[in-house]
Amino acid sequence: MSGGRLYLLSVGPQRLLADGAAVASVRRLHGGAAGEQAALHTERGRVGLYDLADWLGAAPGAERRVVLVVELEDGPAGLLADAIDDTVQLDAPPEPLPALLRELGCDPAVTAVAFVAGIPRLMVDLAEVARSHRAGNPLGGALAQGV
Amino acid sequence: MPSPSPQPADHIFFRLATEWYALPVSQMRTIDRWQAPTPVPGTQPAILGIVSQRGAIITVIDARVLIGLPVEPPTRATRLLGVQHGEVPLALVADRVADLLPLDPDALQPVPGGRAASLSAGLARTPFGPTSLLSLEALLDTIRGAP
Repeated sequence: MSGGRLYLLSVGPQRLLADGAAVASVRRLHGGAAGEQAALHTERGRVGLYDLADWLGAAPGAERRVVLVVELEDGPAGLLADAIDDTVQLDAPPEPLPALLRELGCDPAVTAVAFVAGIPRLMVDLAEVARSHRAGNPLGGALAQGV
Repeated sequence: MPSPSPQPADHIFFRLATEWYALPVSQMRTIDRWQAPTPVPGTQPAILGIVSQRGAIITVIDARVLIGLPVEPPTRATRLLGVQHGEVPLALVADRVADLLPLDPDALQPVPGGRAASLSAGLARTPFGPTSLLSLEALLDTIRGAP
């Protein structure tokens, strides 16, 4: 944790924790089927969108109206979620993943676990998610609308 | 001549799909009602995710996947068996947990071939029918060797 704002992201039925220090901006989409969009047009130009539900292997949610823009080495990328809660409080400081899980391996973007209201939530490195997504898994579909 | 002392009820019996398994109580830590694990991206299929058991974050393993048994959705009878092998805590999904009963290690017979055989220390006749003594060491070896 870098001490930035903490985000609890809703992605389908799942919840993810992310350090807001990695997030350059948060855009809320209005109207249209956000999940069908492939790009977001910002003052910095076109930003490719990547679906966190796809990364999680979770069923996509019905909303998908929040885009978290992260800055990568080769430019910005947008990560699509259903909703965002920036008032989340952790029960205790984040903990490492269980030793067995670290030994067996998981996605390197998963960095720790933290309890929120007694439920363990994954802490993820959004830049790492975007980086691995950009490597070969962009969304298809129409351009952004209703931003 | 004194009658032989009864064997202690030192094994927990549980069902995976249609098959019965047993574990020594010395390896048991907890038996909890089913709680949906938090899935972790990038793990192998037999790892369902993580749960909190008594405040500790535990990796949940579905032995049915390793054995090749059918995987049914959880029911009211589904349990998470918290077990410990050496320093490694983990939780196993059980479709049903039955009872504590004796199991005579000297009465164990080899398990016929198949994936179940590789995870079993032997097969015994019990009130539940043929019952495999699950080997946590073999289970961990299998999952460590899985792709």
